[in-house]
Amino acid sequence: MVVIKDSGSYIESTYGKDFVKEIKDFASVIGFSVEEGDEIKVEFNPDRPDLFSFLMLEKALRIYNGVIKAEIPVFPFVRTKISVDPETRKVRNKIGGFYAVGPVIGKKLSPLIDYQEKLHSSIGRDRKKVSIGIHDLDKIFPPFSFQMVNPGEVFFETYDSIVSGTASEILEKHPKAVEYGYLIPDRGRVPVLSDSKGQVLSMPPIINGKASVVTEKTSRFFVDITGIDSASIRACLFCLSYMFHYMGYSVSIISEDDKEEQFISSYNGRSIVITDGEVRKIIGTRIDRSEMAEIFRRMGYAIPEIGMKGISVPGNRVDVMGPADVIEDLAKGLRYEKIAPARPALAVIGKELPERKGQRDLRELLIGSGFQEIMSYVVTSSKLYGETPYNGGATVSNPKSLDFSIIRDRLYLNMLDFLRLNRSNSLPQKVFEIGDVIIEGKQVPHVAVGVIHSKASYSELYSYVRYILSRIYEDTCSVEIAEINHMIPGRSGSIKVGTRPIGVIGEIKPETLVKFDLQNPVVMAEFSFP
Amino acid sequence: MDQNEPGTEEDLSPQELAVLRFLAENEEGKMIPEDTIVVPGYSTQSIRSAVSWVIKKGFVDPESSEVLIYTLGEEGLRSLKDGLPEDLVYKYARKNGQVSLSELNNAMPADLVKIGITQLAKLGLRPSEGILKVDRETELEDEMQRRLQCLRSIMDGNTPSSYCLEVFKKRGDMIVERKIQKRKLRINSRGRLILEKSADDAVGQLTPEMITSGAWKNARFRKYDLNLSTENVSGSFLHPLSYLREEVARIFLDMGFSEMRGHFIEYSGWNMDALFIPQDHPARDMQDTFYIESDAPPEFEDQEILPILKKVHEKGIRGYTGWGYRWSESEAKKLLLRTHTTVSTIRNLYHIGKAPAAIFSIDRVFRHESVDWKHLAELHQIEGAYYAEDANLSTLKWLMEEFYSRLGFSRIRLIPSYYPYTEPSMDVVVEINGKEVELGGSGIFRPEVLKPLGLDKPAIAWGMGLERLAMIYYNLNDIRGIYQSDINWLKSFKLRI
Repeated sequence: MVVIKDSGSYIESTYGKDFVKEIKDFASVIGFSVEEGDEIKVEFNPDRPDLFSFLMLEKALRIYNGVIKAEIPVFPFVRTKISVDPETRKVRNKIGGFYAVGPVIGKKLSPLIDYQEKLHSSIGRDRKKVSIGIHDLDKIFPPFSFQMVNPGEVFFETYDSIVSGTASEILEKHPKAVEYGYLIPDRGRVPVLSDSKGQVLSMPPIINGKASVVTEKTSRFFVDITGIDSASIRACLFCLSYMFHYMGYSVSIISEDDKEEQFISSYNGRSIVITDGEVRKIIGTRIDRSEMAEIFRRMGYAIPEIGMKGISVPGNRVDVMGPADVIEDLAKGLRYEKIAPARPALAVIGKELPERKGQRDLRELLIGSGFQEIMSYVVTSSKLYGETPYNGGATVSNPKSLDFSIIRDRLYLNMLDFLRLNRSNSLPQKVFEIGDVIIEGKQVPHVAVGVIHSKASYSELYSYVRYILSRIYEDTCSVEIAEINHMIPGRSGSIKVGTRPIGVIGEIKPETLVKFDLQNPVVMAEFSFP
Repeated sequence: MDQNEPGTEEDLSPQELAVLRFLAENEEGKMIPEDTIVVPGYSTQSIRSAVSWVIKKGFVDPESSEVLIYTLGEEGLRSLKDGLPEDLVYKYARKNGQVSLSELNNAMPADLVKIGITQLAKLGLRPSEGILKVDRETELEDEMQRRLQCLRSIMDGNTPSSYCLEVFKKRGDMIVERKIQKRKLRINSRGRLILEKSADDAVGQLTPEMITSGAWKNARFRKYDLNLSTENVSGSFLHPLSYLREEVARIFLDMGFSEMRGHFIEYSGWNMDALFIPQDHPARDMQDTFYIESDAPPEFEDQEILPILKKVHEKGIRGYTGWGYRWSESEAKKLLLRTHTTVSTIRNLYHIGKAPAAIFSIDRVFRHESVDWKHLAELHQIEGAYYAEDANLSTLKWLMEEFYSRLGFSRIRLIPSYYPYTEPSMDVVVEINGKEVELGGSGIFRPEVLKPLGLDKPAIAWGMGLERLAMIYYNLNDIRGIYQSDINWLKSFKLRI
């Protein structure tokens, strides 16, 4: 989820008195949520970075309401040299950028910077994939170079004047470097973007330099976009250049060669062809061509006037990958509440998994014998295990906490914990659990039963276990004395049906009872079933 | 507990007789307080009722006076068990030195925080700019102990001190004050008379001997009090979640859906890549998914999909661009605890192939979440899918209305949403007590999910959490109680029949 927010009074004075009401209605079309308070908060799904600014949200809203027309601006290309050495390409292998020239930015600087940060965190995956630098073109001198340097040898001041020193010192001292420093793992060499006079513009993806800092007085911009993947760079390039365009700037995109120019320009206004058949297949009803064209325009697409073979997708709609995406917009524009439900053929016959019947029978047998069903976590606490040898064969490599760190290989430890939680409730307590455990990497169903009260003994539970097993197996059951974890030697063993071992039964050792804060004897059994 | 209905003066029940006898034997001319009457074999309550009857029938002379008694209310009982709201808030702040109100609201229910903060404010500890600071031990700790001691003392049946009353009397449902009538009794002459005349010859328990000997023919059966107080019994039953699971499974089966099989441990290739979730998607972070290491890793099912996944992610399919990044096989071969049962849906559809299918599962999924009163690290996902030529938005809407109405939600609304593997994606909003609540997700699988696996029809999929449903059905305010549960709740939760 991506959240944008600003003060209610700012929004009202900038976008109009009814703006909040209008975006609330728009929210039910697009699918975001609006929270009103002193601050207006809008929470988006991650798929629409083109909207992650009130400024852009307003444009989309005005287009939807028909106040302004959807357009696909054409941005000219310029060939400004940005030389990148092969070593830099190993770290941030791609760089793109554009110029934007227009009015003095003034108060719109802050929404611009906010939008840049939203792009960093969403498309840029916290600057891992993409980072963006915005510079004052009047203060710098193209062409540019993007080179790896020895951090001890390059000297600059950070844009916010917090640190002035070598790149090493900046990496060490500046809060942004502390936050994002991990993105430059090799501190021996760092990437630096500089201009023809040797001024440092930025050290991507960490921080910009003071030399090119933008202020509210800036009217000519250079934006650099560096990253590890050209599709994401292109996505950020269009999101930002559309914003500049809507703020009244002329944007020209920097390209290295024809190939890059083609890669970028083909994306803006790319045509997606949809057929009536496809629309009907996804939505379920036929939609009139002219209605479709109207909705597409309101949703921000451009439609060639004659026919409707292809619709053109704006370059900042980076979520659109094919027909399904634009048809979803069609359905949104149509509004879901207007789609009439239609009963599907459902030419199928329902069937339960065969093992459910056995589990249900077992549950009924146990409930009929007076046992209460319980349920416990599959990912359980390693504290319950202590020194117990673990037989699951699968370990969680990134546990959240000790309480949720081990995949259960048995049920009875969880059951002891249940009895611990219920130690102040009245006795006797007779409980069971049916659930899957992981043994040597394999998932198998188990049942555990347990009894606690002042006179709980092996013979009591054994009589129930023998009864249950006699109802589900042809062969008779027996118990062979064996050493079982947590159980008293001589009072515990392995349950066999015929000659096949299926589980364990026994009285719980006093030291285990004490560990679980239990003051009454407990008998437990756990076994697999057919 | 046989007890005659006291119809006439002469017709005394055994308890009434016993009460009269007790009064006659212990009286010595004094008034006897009702609560000192002991009759072996009878509960206090049946003695009380017998006393009322012998008064009514005029065998004893009563004298009553009014007294105030105090017991703990619901809030009081809860505070005694889990801690006072102010103490919980105080301890939380003390543990961390300070805490913000929003952090508090995440850590415990909002109403509890509100009460806690209000009480602490009365004691002079106020949050400043949304931060509650307790960076050293304060005298408030003793105050909390005093307050708890009050509750304990009331619980033990003592009359609270004026201090306790001052602290708790005005707080909602902490302590309950009741006026009760205390009676004192003395047997009168009519009582003595009837006592002499009385002989208990009516039949109580019908015995096997009476049946076989024929003695029942001349017996007079004493009438019972049919609403007598009895021992509270409780039986055993399904766990609430297991009960609800059965209910939901039956809805699917009734609608013609077949249950599908799956497993907890999955390869991310199936859990994520097959669902077109890009390899750098935030859901795949270590902060969102439990990853697994295994000495004996399971085989990657249907290995042949790996090159297909690579192609779809990198280059897309006809008409679709794909993600355009370099797909890595080793990333797809990471083991994890499945994050959704949609993985079972896609694998089952892959195996089904061309035939139309309606499939479901209600099974566990795992989330790398901090567990608190509204989040669990594992939960049961209800998942349904319909794969057929006529799977589209209109039939999805019908299916959602039908399915949710069978769950008890008569009004639903679909709102636009986003999932990486469905397009369109919609969330289902239901109405609960006039409030709209988002309960589940739904959508139509993206072509990039189905087509590469040879699935030539569209598919609808939808899901929701069984525990969320349980919280609504059973009116729970702490989701953890479903697993770390109180056995008394397991034996007493209301069934919706």
